[in-house]
Parts: sequence; C-alpha cells; structure tokens
Amino acid sequence: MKKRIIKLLVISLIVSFFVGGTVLADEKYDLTLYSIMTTNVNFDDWLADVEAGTGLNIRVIAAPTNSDTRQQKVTTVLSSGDSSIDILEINDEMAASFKSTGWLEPLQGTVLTDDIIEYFPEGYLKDMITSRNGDIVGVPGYSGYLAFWVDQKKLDKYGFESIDNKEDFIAFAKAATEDGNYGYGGSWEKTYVFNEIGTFINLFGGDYFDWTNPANKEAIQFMYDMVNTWKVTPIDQIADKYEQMNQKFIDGKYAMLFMWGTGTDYRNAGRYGEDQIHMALMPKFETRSVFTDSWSYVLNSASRNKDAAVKFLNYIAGKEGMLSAWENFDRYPARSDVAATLPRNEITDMYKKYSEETIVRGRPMVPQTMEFISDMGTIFQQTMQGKISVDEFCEKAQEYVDRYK
Amino acid sequence: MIFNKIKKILNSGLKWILALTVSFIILFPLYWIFISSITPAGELFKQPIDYLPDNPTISNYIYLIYNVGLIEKVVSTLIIIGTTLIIGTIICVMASYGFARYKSKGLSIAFMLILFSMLIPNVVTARPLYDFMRRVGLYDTYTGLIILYISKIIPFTILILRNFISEIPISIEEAAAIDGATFLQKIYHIILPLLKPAIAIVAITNFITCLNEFFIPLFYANNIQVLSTAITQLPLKDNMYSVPWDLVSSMGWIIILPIIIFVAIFEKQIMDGIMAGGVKA
Repeated sequence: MKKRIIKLLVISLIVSFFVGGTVLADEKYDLTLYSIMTTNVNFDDWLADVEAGTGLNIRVIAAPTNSDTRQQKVTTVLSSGDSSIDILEINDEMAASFKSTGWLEPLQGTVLTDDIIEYFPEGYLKDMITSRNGDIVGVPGYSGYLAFWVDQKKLDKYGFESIDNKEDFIAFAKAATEDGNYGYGGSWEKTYVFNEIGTFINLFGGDYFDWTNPANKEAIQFMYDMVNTWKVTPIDQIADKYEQMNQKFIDGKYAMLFMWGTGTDYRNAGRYGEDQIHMALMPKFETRSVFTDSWSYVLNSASRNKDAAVKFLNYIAGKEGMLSAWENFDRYPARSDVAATLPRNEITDMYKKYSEETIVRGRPMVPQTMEFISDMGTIFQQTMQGKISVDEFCEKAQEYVDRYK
Repeated sequence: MIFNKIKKILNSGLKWILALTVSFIILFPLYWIFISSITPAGELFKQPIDYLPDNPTISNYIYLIYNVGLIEKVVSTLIIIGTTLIIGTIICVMASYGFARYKSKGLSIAFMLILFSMLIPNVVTARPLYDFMRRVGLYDTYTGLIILYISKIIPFTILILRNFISEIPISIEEAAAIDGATFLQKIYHIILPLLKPAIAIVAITNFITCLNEFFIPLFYANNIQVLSTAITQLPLKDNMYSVPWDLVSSMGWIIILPIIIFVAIFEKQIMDGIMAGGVKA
C-alpha cells in the first residue's frame, strides 16, 4: 500500500512536471501589468476601477519592492525584448536608466497629448521622463514631495511662528539644539543623503550637475556648518535611513527635517497634527524649491498589445485614473487640475501650496543612478567627518558628474 | 591534583562561555526577527530599545496570509521542491553510479565540470539563460523552474552519492551478476537499498537548499511565486522609500522557521552528508 502511494505520488509529480508549462498560458488577457502595488490592501479595488474604466482584462504580475532586485529584473525584461509584460510601473531611478534606451514607447502622441500635458509638473516631466530625443516615456502615477516637516511643539517652545527663510532656519536650528536634542535631523546614510544634498543645492539656487557653481559649494558648506560649526545636527546620522530618522523625530530628538509622504509614520505614532508634527511650506533660501518624485507607468516597446496599453495609460493619465489612485493608494494626483478637485484637508492644502508657491523639480539622476548616488554619498560623508574639505568635495563631485552623466 | 582539577574546571568553564557566546550570536538575530515581527510598526525603532514589545500583535501574519498570498506560495514551493527532489534524485543516482563504477578520462572531465558548475555565480548566466528559457517556452512555468532547481542540486548530490557508491564493494554486484541479475536489477535491488541513508541525507540537504533558493524563482518566474521570494513583494509604505520592517520580519520568520526546525531535527544526517562529500571528493 505504502509503495503504491509513493508510486502514485512520483507519477503525479512527474506528470505535473511535464504539463506544468502549459498551465499558465490558458487564460487570455488584454494586457499584462507589472506593478509594485499588488500587495496593497486596496489593490483589487483599484484594479476593478481600472478594468471597469477601460473595459480591459488585465493580468497582474507582482514586482519586487526591493529596489536592487527590481531594477535588475526590469532591466532584463526590457533589454531582452521580452513582450510578455506590456505596462511597467517604474520609479525615478529606473526612469533615469531607461528613458533614452529605446526600450520604452514614446507617449506624447498617444497619451500625453497637448491638452493634458500642461497639467503635469513640467519640471518632473523634463527632468525625469523625457528622453534625450525629447520623447516622453511615462505617465506619472502621482506627485510626491520631499517636504519640510516641523515639530510644532518645538516651534512654540522656542517662540517661532514659522520657518520662512534661511535666517529662520538657522535660528530655529540653533535654538532647538539643547539637552541632547537637535534642531535639524537628516538621514545621511550614503545612498539616502542624495535627496538632502539636492534639496539644499536647490534651496541655494545651485545646479547638482555643475559643481563649479558657487551656490553648490555654499550648500555643502551650510550642511558642514550645521554639523561642525553650529552643531545643530548630529554626525552619527550618517548611519541613519528614513526609519531611524523618523523615529528620532517622533521621539522629539529633532525639530525639523525633510521627508517624503503624508506623515503615516507620525500618525501611527500619535504624533501627527497641527500642534504636533506637520508639513510646512519649504523655507526660501535663495529659492523656494522642492523635489518631487513619482512612479510612472511606461509602455514596453516590445509589447504586442499596444492598443490596449494605450487605452490603459489614457485611463491612468485621466481624471478617473488619478482619482482612483488617490482614493485607493492615497497617492496625490500628478495632474494639477485633478488635484484641485480633491476635498480640502491639511495635506491637500499644503500640497496645493507646494505646487503653486515652490519650484518643483525632478531629482537629478543619471543612467547609472545607484553608482552615482553612492559615490556622492561617500564623499559627502567624508566631508562632514572632516576627512576631505568642501572644495575637495566639489572637485570630486564634478568628476562623478562627468563620469556618470 | 588540585591544579589538574582547577584546570579541568577552567577548561569546562571556557567551553561553556564559548558555547554560550556562539549560541547568543546565532540565536539573538533570530530572536530579534521574531520580536520585530510581533511589534507594531510605530514601535520598531524606539529608543531605548524594547527587548519585549509592549503591545505584541499578530496582525502582520494575518496581513501576509490575506494580502501576500502566503498559502499559495507555500503550495507552489512544495510542488516545485517535491518534484525537484524526486526527479533530481533519480537523475543523480544514475549519474553517480556511472561516475563511481566506470572510469575514463571523459567521465573524469565530466565529473570535474559538474563540480566546477557549482562555482559559477547565478548572475553570470542569468541573462543568456533568461533568453533561452523564454525561447523554449519554459519561462515562468513549473517545468522550467523545476529544471533549474534540479540543475542547482545536481553537483552536490552527485558528489555525495558518488562517494557513497564508491564505498559499496563491487563484489556484491558481481555476485548478483553471476546469479543472473541484469544491469537495472542490480541498481534497483542492490545499489538503491544500500544507498537509502545517503539518499535521505541528500534529500534533507537539498530540501533546505531549494527552500532557500532565491535567485531562480525571482529571475525566471513572474506568476509562480515561492516562499523565498515573498520578502521582495511586501507593500511599501506611503512614501515609497521606507521599508516595511514589521512585515519583512514576519515574512523572514516564516521563511526561516521551517529551516530551523528541519536543521534541528536532521542535524546529524546533514553533517554526515557534508562530511561524506567533503572528505572523499
């Protein structure tokens, strides 16, 4: 009996081995979507919206959320001319790597037409998803800001109404630095600090790709002074990523910082609100600038379902698609006209202010994004630790720009 | 006399300290993963650190079952590993017999090549193999994955089984041949029963290897998802840059728990297998 069961098991497994290859090909789909959102609790509702809005039957493949793994896999899919995936959801790093490769279909003639393109953030479209040939290769799925966050308790404690300019920023940072707490907090792990370096360069009116620009040096000198001269931010944050930085902010160790998102961590910790931690308008140094990020939907050039894919992208770029992403994923619409229709709350009000009162820019990325980011982070940390001077930093930074751009 | 006694106590004490230190180094990360998996996200990076969570929760595990398709992934994993072990073992027994019993320059080179294949990193062959799998229609299929898993376990399995077969006196087979046994009868009635302990050892080791395999299912499949890659498909938080460490810890614990249990139960057999392969190669 036992032998018979084992034989039966072996035979069934061998049969499954030989027929396994055909099982997946049975169901028919109009297109295949490669998405990082599949494990979100509201993904099915979003997909139902999309399918109802487009009339398409969509197959979904879960993309790795781990960035290195995802980039490796997507690079392989696109570079090999693999047609099994039609639409991919890619982040800024991938967009920078792929936008000029020819692997992505230009969308300006079919999806991002003249009548709607003006509603998308111009700086983001230009910096992040326009190829060298001028082709726009993606539809931004949302707009996120690397926003300025402050702890209202500390503002009140040290007698500041708002942080509106460089002088306020420095004064508040100095005032709030006491008892082991710091005025400014950062996540300066070598790959994360990229965002903050860029933010300060923008605030000083510099250009990340031109390190002969005196404003760039001024920005780095400012960050150096925060650590070493004014001592308003700790050097040990060179080990911190966003999780550690946020926890310290929640614990009251920092008074202000730059952070993406809409404050979920602060809400979860019971520290979000007008009298607690909240988003504030970016201060104006030389300029009032802010980075925006997005994940964009792109069309694989090798796709065999381009008509269906264009239908999908038109929906995503349209009002219904933007609103569905807002309702299901809490993603702020990339289109300003759609954003204007959202019900008012403190987040939508502040996002509206950001879009109207700041210079919104995509992040400065190059095709070999991660190598560039990592190298810049390494010399930044060396500078903050006093191992190399600010001048040496600028020289090396220019070398990396020349090498990677 | 007293000196010897003190020396003995010191030696024993040192051994215990060393054993406890090593145990702590090994077990503390496991404990930390488990604790993180039952700690609410907002308390994960609290300072000072809580070594026991104030508000333990199993919500992460419930989320994994309902939103990350944990059960489906377990089923896929078992189908792939089960088939791999059965087919892989049959192939390896036959190959090992050939390598152990027949001697020629070609066979020696073939054996060396099989062992050498263990040294080639996955990433080197990834792109050409990806193209090949697509062309032959094996990409994202159970068949394709099982073939790749089998190829992964072949070198180590052949190494172990060949050495075990070499230890079996050929005179037993010769006696059977004199009694009229055919080639297949010799394999089935003589070699296989004697190989049972070795097969058990490689089955255990290969089960753990397959359970741990990350690159193959990640790279050569989209729809078919296994347990080891699930950790890459956890939802990002609202800003898309923060890692959901609470879910990562829960999934990590689910992935390593069966391996820990398996290793704890079969530790002796696993060590025997590794020693057999290492010493006699």
